[in-house]
Amino acid sequence: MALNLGKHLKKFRDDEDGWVSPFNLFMSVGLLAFGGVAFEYADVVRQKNYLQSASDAVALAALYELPDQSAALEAGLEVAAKYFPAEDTLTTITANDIDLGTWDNDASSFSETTSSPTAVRVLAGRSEGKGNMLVSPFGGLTRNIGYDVTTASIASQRSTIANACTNGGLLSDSWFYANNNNEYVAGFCTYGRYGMEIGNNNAYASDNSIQGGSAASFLQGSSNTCAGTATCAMNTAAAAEDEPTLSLPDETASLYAALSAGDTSVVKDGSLYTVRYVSQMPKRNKVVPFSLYVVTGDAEFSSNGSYEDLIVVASGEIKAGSNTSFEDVVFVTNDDITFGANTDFGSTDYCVGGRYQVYLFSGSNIRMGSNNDLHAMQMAAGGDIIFNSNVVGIGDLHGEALGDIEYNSNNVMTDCGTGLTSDFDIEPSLEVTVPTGGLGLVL
Amino acid sequence: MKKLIQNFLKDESASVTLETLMWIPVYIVMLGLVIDSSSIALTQSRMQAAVTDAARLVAIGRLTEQEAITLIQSRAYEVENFTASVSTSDSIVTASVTMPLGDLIGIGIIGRGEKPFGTSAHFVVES
Repeated sequence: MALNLGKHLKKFRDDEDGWVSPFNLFMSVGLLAFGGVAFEYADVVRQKNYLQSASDAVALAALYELPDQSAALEAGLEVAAKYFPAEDTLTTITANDIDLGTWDNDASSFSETTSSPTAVRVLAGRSEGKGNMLVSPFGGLTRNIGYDVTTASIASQRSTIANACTNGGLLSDSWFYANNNNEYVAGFCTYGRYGMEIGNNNAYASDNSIQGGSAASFLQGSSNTCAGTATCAMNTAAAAEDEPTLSLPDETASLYAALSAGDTSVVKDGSLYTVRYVSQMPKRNKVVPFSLYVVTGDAEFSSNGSYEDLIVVASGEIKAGSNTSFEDVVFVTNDDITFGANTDFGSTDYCVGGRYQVYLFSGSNIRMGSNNDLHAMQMAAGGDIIFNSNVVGIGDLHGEALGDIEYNSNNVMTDCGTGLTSDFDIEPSLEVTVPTGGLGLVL
Repeated sequence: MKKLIQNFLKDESASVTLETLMWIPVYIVMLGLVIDSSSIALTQSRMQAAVTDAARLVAIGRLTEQEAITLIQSRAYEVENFTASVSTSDSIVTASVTMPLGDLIGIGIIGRGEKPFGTSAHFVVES
């Protein structure tokens, strides 16, 4: 029996019948493995394409809601839910996958930040680290447990260089000080080359309103708000050469020289004005409209007067008492310009003409009291511009000072919505980078 | 005659060929599965690109919904019948496309019948 078994085993070992079947069996396993790799690769490509489409759409949806950060996340997740049904717990995009930040186009880099974000990054995918790896169905054959399938989408607001001061502005070549409870419309800019200090409860319609030189500092109290940003911050010029040139004060010297010589051509409709050389301003009821008063010494306007269509150039100060009003005037001096309280500048319908109506050029300081109404007004000071509290209304005000700009509390800036033109062809201008509203995928 | 049959039954020449011939259907099925599954994945990727482009172009106002449908269908090969739809709801544009498995370019092991497969894309309207 034992001999027979040994004989059978030997025969079985030496028998070559049916050898093709085991060979094909091994071949088929090998082929299955190769096929599995091909299938899995195709599936990874399919999954990646779907994820890429999803992450692109989520990034754009979130970006569209910025600067409202919570709305951005909500919109992104709403779109994500369209791509991934609730029962799909493995492949999905969660809030953790959506980052808000900024995109540096030059460096091609994304920086995560919650301060004025202008870009959204979505990192979606399935990976071993996230515990949702794409499991390989042929893993037993290919000895590969699965695949990481990840995608990244970055969408950024397209931006352009624009003028921040379309509705006026106060620009200082030195320091800028403002106190509490001041309100600023969009397009009204404030600039301090060396820095800015504001008090509490100031409200800005845009963070572009706060500008400074490349090395400017920004000090603020509490409860200041800037639309679209969590906290108010100063936008500084990238470099000193990018800082604005305040050109309005430069006009003072040439205007003073021309007007002092009786040359009215430097002023709009100057031919309508009669030149009158005086040592002091006439009393209020003696002031003749459409006159260029060339005053030797101080030019002082009486209180309680209304003055229109005047050009005054004085070798001394130009000053006015309280309760006065000025419309269509040009005042030029190398000395100070000073106004008391309750002074109205510009007409009540100042927007109609589309131009500034009051022009003050001082080689020194411009000072004003409280409760003034400042509309359609351009001011240029070789020194400081200072006005007090409770301005009744500020609309399309443009002031440039080579010294400081300083004002107190409770001033509300308004505007005509379209900006005004200057008779001297100098409008407030600060170049800032602003989003154009266009959205684009950058990665 | 009987002898001839007996000789044929005992003849072992070309036995390898015959045995291999029996394995060929197995290989064909396996090959078909690989080709068909890969074809599904690649077709679906092509569909994804089409609906993504279409939904985005509608979302930014570059195409009407009908133009977007035409765009999606233009991405199909001649033998494929893309059924596309584009709609806007709650400010989200949804573009979808489906195709019968039977239209799939492949061996036809998986791709049989009218059972559809497809994909979709969703983009927020930017206006």
